[in-house]
Amino acid sequence: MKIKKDEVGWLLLFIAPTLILFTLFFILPILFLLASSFTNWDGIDAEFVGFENYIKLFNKKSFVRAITNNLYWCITAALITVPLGLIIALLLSHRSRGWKVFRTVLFVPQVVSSAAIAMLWAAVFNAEYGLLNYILDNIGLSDYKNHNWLGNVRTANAALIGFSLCYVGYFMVIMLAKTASISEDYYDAAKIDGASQIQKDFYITAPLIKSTFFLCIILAVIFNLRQFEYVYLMTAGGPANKTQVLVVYIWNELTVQRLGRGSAAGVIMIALGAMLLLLLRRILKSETYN
Amino acid sequence: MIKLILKKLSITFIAISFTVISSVASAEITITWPSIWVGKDSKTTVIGELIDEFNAANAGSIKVVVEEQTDYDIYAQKLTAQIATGELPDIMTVGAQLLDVLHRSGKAMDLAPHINSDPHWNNVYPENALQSAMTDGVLSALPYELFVTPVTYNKKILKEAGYDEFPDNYDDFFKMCEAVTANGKVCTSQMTGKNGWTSMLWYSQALASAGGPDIYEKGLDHPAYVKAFEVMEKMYQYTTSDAIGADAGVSGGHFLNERTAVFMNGPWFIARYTSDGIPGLHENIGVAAAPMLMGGEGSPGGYVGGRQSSLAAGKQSDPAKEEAIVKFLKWLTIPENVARLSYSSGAMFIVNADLPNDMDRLFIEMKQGISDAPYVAPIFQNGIGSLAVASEFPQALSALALGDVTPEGAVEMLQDAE
Amino acid sequence: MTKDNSLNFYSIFKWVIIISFVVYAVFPFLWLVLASLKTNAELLDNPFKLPKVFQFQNYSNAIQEAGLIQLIINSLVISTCATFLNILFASMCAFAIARHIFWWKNVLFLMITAGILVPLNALIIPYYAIINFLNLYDTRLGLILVYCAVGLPVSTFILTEFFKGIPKEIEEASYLDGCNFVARYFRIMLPLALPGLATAGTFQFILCWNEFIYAMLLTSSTEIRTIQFGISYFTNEFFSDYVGMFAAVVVSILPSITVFILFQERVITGLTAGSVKG
Repeated sequence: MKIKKDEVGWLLLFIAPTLILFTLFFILPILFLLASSFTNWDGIDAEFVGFENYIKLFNKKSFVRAITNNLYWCITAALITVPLGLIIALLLSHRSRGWKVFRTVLFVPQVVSSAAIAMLWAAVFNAEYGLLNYILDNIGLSDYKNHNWLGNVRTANAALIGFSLCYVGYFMVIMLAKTASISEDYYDAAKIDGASQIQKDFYITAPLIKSTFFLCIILAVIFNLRQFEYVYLMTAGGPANKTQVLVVYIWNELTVQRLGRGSAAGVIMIALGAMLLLLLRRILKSETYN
Repeated sequence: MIKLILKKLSITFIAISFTVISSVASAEITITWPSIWVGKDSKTTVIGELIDEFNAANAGSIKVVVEEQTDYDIYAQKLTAQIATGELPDIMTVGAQLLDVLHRSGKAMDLAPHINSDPHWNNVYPENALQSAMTDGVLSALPYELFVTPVTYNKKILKEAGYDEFPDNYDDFFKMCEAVTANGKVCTSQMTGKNGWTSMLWYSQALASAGGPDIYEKGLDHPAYVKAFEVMEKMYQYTTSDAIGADAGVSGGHFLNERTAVFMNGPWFIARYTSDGIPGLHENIGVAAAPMLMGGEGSPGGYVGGRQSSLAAGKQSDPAKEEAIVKFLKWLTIPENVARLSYSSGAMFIVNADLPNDMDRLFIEMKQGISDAPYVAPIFQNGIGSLAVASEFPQALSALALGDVTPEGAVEMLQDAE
Repeated sequence: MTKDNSLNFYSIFKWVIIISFVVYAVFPFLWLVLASLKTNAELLDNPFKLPKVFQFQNYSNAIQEAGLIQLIINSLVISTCATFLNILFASMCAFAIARHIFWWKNVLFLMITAGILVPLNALIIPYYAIINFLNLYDTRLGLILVYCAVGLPVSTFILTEFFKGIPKEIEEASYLDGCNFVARYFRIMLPLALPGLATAGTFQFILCWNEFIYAMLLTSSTEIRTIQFGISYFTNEFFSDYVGMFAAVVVSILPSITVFILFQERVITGLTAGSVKG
């Protein structure tokens, strides 16, 4: 709707609270991050060092590894996590018996302290008494008897991502909420045409929540770029930096008081994210943005 | 420019905190202490009692208030933020890794004048303990808690493998591991998760044994660093299959459940042999110095350990408050109080204190070990003098254990971390 | 014929998917409950064995020692206020962006969206400084403000999408009826966007409830701390009382699940409200 002159004041007033808080808690800290990224600040002294932090970071194998791992996380989020969420949302949108219970249950991992969940999954993947190896052993895959899932270079990332799938409920809930706003008329019409359930799901529901699906993909990609807790709690980037991700890397730099370099890593991450965001916008070209 | 802004910001913050402090100033001085000895920590009870007694004795004039800091990582980040933005708490517990930055910040109260003017401190501390903690005549943190990490081993498992004594060199040690393995048990508990604590302690032992207790002054190029990694490489052949990536709970859990024969940790772990171990575990445990590397520069019986938590205070402008803080620090270092703390928690302190005779057998053996030891070398994490190198250690170790790098490569990884 | 077959096949597929993910999601929770009824020694021995005796006192111990009730009340107050403010501000902003045309709205929207990218863990020192500067250290208001602010990008992003999905005709009709800017927002848009508000509110509430780093960083007195402090109460530098922590975790789940169910009910109410429009 075009904005009328006498309503400009209201418009600004409506944007103001968000903009003020955003400036205070995002723009200012990011400017601070940017400024300190060109220094060797350690919490006490700061000297201007130009691009040294950036150059050093890109020369670190573990930092480059963190970037590639993050991209790996982002791609699996877009190709596996969100589509899975969509399928479950479509299935639950039938509102068959007990769907509310399933919705709640699938959301449960979201509200459990991640420290506790990480501990459980570390125990599931444990080589000595892990549940996964026990199951594999019992179905005849005894090669895996003492396989250390999180401690092995080949399986550590896959195990982490497998574990992260239990959070699929987050995106499912967003898409399910969107199906709630679809008018019943569509389905009534389809019923008259004799459409089956699968046809209704794919030809009515799915297209109508397409924009929400894209929104979820964008959210998932960004969340996985910011991936911290699961990796920090389960492998802390190990073994041999093989599961390192950006935010864990930043956290470590802060812990060892290389605050300037941590800031530089943060700036790189934001820049990378902005590029990903623009790229996604191109690819998805959805109504989300116009 | 940025330095200027940071300085300006900190001046503003100091100004604000002064106004706040002066506006609430009354006859009673309040001392805030963000303490990590809270919650399930073994020192919680007695520290609480000591504070209550102190507050009761100084009712109306001084009051110590504890802010509970249960998460150590976040406590450390918070201290970093406080050092950076310019206001320190009145009293704080400082781990070895923050001592340097605290000192350099110049924001901590210098305790040296108080120590020089009051005989209390020099009476209760061993000779030179305080002087050696000073940097350029300034004492930013009072040494307080002490720790050592000798070998603890399961006598039962060793006996079953044919060993009555713990071997004193690595050749015999690995032979013993072979025998333990043949007997269907695992020899050592190791871990590379988080800071790789237990394995880092083994590495420290091997380092001191190969390069002498002053190895950290010799630089990362010294061959001892490679030699110690060679020991670790072997050590990982005789450990549990989950060691890579395991955290302290997992590696400790194996020893508590008699799945592993040898474990290395500090005195704080003693109480857990009884509370969390399988029945009868405590009686089966022996304490020993770590094995020696043949041809190394260290001496037999050498221990590793060092300063655990130190007590520090923020700089004060009000002399009355400074006096109050010093009074409280003195209270915490009175030998009787330290003895109570040590007795209840199993922790060791630098202050000379007469401990009751019924201390835990393992505690007494460790204390005996210290007095017999030719030296107590620092642990790698503290001795290496670089937080970045220390935090890269678990990554280098796991790379080594996975066969990704050679011992030389592991040292290179450490060097690259700087 | 084909239709029936596909229906059967589809519904089998449906139940397989749903049940397997339910197992995936509910298994950690069951394990948690079970583990919280063990002793620490049993847990360290084998995390998957059943306890010999169910240690129900772990719960009463946890609730008493860590003062969980007070912490839960604090969490409820802080999370509710922060969620209310966040959804109010975000929906106002999203309404302005989604339903109006002004030249800088894309810039504004992209900027706010980019806020989701910011690694909050890297901002410990700036946030600490800002909250001290505002004199809000160790206050409930300080936490409320921080939580409200850090959730704004996600909430605005989700709500803008939901606002865009509401047919233009409804708003235009009300505009012709003489509804002004504020009335259009409160009377027309908010009721129609209920599913979106409830969804964004759910996530915002969960974010406040689970946030740990800033909850510890920006507070110091137990009187105002949140439930996350209660969970961390059981872990220390050298010793962790895992079973006590698990009991605290289980207790902490109950209020947030209740809030989730309450909020999600609004989504269904939103459906009824939406279908009236015909």
